[in-house]
Amino acid sequence: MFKRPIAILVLLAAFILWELACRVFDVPSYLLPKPSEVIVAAINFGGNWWSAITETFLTVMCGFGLALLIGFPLAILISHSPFAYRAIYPFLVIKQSTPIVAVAPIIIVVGGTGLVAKSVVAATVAIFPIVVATATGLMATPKEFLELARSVHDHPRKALLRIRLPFAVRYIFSGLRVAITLAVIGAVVAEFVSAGRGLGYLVYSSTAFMNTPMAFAALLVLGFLGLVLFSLVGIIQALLFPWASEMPAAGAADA
Amino acid sequence: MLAAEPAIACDGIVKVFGSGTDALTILRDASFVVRHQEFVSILGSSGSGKSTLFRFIAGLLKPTSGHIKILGREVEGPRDDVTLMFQNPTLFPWMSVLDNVLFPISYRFGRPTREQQAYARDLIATVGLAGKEKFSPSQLSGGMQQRVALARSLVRHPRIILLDEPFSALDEMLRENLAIDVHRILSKAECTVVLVTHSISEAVLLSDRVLILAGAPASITDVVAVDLPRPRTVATLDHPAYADACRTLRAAMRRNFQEAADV
Repeated sequence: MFKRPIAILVLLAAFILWELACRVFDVPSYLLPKPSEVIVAAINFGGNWWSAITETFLTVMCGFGLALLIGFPLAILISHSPFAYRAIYPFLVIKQSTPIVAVAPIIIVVGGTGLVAKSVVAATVAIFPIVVATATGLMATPKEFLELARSVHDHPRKALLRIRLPFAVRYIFSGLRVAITLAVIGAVVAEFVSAGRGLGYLVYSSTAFMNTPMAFAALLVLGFLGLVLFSLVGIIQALLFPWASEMPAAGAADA
Repeated sequence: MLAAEPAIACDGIVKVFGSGTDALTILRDASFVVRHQEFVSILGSSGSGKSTLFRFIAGLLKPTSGHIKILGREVEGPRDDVTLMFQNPTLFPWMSVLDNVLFPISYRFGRPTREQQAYARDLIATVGLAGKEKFSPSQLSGGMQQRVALARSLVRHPRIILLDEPFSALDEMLRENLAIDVHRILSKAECTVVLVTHSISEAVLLSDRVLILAGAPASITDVVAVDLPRPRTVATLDHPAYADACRTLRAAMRRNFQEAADV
């Protein structure tokens, strides 16, 4: 995952600096805990991590899945007809510029504090980059690709499945990478307002009880979860669509 | 009956884009015929409407009025016996060289037969890329990619091949070599060829006849026969008739250009 060990060195250096600064200036731990205190808090939490992580992970994955389920057909619709584009796109932009922190309490009130409502919150933020990236990719398909396909067989649905979608893969995955990190944010926000379980709730409740070291520990685990999921999307792309990363060289981009 | 018909007959082709006061006439009464196994170039400057004409013959677009007949039948859409080559190789990056060559078969009918696969391999060897069947297009140079596109355009035994400036993205030496190879391969395949180009030298090197498409709106202003022996080779470039034809065409192009500037 860490292809650049330099990033690990930077992280270590930051931790050491942080530890030293806390010791030299004698910062109280409820304001800014030392990294060593964070680690101790994390170790003491022990087996409870597992349920917190799986809870958040589940919300993220369900929200992400939901976003895919709605986002793909929406993107195909938008790229297919200028009418659908004009009818749907403004609402997507309005939805995206409305802060999720404002929307999440409403969704939780309506849908309850269960997995479904929390996934909806996560999906709400994740859907935008999926729709935009997929629609952009579908519409960016070079005209000559489509003309060539049409000269062989005039079949729009086949062209969508076998020309437009493969061409859009590179775009789709750059959208998915953004979407998965947004889904993590959405899940955390949902846990903030639904008050129950998960890493987001852990941050929320720890700060409420001035247990700042624990809040930091949960924050670091959240960051790590986001990083793992982000990298996973890249790994899946490299495994399933190895050609998609080398596409510009194929003479497609300048068409 | 069939032999009496020309390979391609365009009669009174008109194309108007838009309507009302915004209407823009691109083509006005473009008419010409292409005989069987003839190599004809349509020579025009950029924006002359030659790519639009190309798409009419390919059945990808419909003219506003006029008739196009291919082998005696009115063009109503893309046909199985007409294939295309574009300026860009237009290879799908998610397919190997072999799969790209087989695309016209697999996209239409599904999995190619053993014979079709063998034929595709033969074609890849014919265009000089034997051993590169499993390569990805991105591993090939621009010239090689265009060779793959040539093999692909031949895989379904077409009668007519339409070329839309397929050499113009390549540098000069590569362009001449590829053009001569394409000419040899297409002559051997007994194809009728229409090349759309803005290059006088390319048109003369390859064609039996050159049609100049000029004016606004454009029509066929000149037809120049190129009296050069087949096969066309590098030696063709030194033939006196080559220089003559180039001179004639350049003069005609200049005249059109001057007329356009005077208006």
